[in-house]
Amino acid sequence: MSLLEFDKVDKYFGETHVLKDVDLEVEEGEVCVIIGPSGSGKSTLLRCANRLEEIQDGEIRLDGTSISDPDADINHLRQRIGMVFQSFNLFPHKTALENVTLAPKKVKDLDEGVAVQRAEELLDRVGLENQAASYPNQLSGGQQQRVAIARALAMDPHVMLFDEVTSALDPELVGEVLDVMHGLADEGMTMLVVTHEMGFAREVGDRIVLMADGRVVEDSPPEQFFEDPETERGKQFLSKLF
Amino acid sequence: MAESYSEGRTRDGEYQEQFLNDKTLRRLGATIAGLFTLGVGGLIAVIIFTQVDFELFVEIIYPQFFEAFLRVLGIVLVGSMLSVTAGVIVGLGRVSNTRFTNAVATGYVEFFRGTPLLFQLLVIFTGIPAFWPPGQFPISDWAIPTAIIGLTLNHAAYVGEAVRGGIDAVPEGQMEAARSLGMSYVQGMREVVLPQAWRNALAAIGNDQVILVKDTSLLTVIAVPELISAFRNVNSATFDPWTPIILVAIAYLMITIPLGKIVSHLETRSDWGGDRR
Repeated sequence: MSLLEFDKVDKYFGETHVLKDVDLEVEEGEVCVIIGPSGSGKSTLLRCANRLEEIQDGEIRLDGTSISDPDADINHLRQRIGMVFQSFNLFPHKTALENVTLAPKKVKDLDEGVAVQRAEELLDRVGLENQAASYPNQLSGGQQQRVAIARALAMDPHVMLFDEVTSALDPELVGEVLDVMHGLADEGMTMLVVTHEMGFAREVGDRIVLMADGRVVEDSPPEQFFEDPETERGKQFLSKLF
Repeated sequence: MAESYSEGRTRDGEYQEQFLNDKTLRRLGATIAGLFTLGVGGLIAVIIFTQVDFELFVEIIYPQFFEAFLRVLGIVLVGSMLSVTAGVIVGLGRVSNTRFTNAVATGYVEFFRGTPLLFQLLVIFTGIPAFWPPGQFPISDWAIPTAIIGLTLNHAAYVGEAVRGGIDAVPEGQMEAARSLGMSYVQGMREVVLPQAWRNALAAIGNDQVILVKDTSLLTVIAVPELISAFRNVNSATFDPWTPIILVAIAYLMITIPLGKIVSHLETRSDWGGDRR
C-alpha cells in the first residue's frame, strides 16, 4: 500500500472537467514532482489531496484512510498532510514564531513552552533562527516561504504538498527555498511537488509526473523523462522548455 | 518632480498661460481656508460676546446638562458594546455558507438599514407595551431600555456590514492555510480571519459608532432626558437659543472626538510590523 493514493479521481469545476480519471501512487519517502502546462490540473490535484477541493468521483487515500469520504475526519487527516502555497499565506498578524506555533497549540494542544521550543528548532532548520520575532511583512518572499515550510512541518506531517512554492519569488530568492526542500527530501520526507523548476525536478525528484488536460500522461524517473520521454506529450513539453 | 509640472509648460517647452496651475490651486485652497476660518471665528466671537448669557451658562451646566451628558454617555457605552458584539454575529451570518443563516442575516440588515431609526424606536417604544393590557406593562421607565434596544438593533446592522466587508477583504488563502494545518472553520475564523477582518473593519465600525453617538439625539422623541431635550427645556424657559446650543455642541464633541482618537489608536496598535511589503 502506498502512502498517498489517487484512485480514479474525477474533478469538475462546474462544467469543466479538470481531473480526468487520475491514478497516482506516492510511496513513503518518495519525492514525486508534477509538471505540466498551466491549466493541466496539477495544482488542483494537489489541493484535492488535502481536500481544499472536493472531488466528484474516485477516492484519495492517505495510509489507506479515505480523505475524500464525506465522513472522513478531515481536520485530523490534514494534520498529517503539510501544505505550502504559492502565495505563502502566512498569517500577517502573527510573528514568524507565532505562525509556526499557532496550529500545534490550537490543534495539538501543545503547551506554549513545548510549541515554542519546537518552532525555534524548525526556524533554525530553515535558516531563520534570527527572524522569529519578525512579522511576515518584515520578511522577504524567500524568508516568508521558508517560515511557511516550518509552519507546515510543525504539525509533523507524513507527506508534504508544495504548490508552485517558488513561482511568486524574485529569481534570486528561489534558491534558498529549493535548498530547504532539497534538505527535506534528503531526510526522507514524502513530497508531492508541483513546480516549474526543472533543475530541481531533475535533481531531487524520484519521479516525474507529466500532466496535460487533466490527465497523467507520463510517469517516469527523471533521467528517463529528461533524456528520452516515453510519450509524444512528454517530448512536446520538453521541446518547449529548452 | 511634481514642481516641473506646475509651471504650465507645453511639450515644446513654451510657457503657457494656465488659469489653474498647481501653485495657484494651492494658494486658492489656502485663501478659501483662511476666509472660512475668519468667518467662523468672527461668528463665534459675535455669538460669545453678544448672545451667550454666562450666568445662565454656568447655571444650566449642573445638574441639567451634566446629567443629560452622563445619560447619553451611558447609553452610548452600553449601545456601543452591544451593537459591536451583535454586529460581529450579523457579519458572521452574512458570510455564512449556510443559505438559511445567510438569508436571515441579510434580511436583518435590509430591514434595519432600510427603515429609519426613529421609526424603529417608535415601534419598540409604543409597539411592545401594546402586547399588555393598558397599564399592565411591567417596565415603568421604558424609554431608556427602548433607546438601548433600538440603537443596538439598528447599529448592529451597520457594524455587521462593516464586519462582512472586513472578512471579505481577508484573502481566501488565509482560511485555506489555517484549514491545511488541521484547524477547524471556527478555529480558522477566530485565530486567523477575524483578527485581520477586525483591523480591516475598524475604520468603518468607528465611523458607525460616531453616528450612534449623534443618533442619541433622536431619543428626545421618546422623552429620554438627553442633550436635545435639555436644550429644549432651557430654550423654552428662557427664549435663549445660543447659550444651550454651545453646551450641546461641547457635550457631543466631548464624546465623538475622544471616540475617534480611540479608533485611530486601535488602528495603529494592529500595525503588525509596519506596511513594508
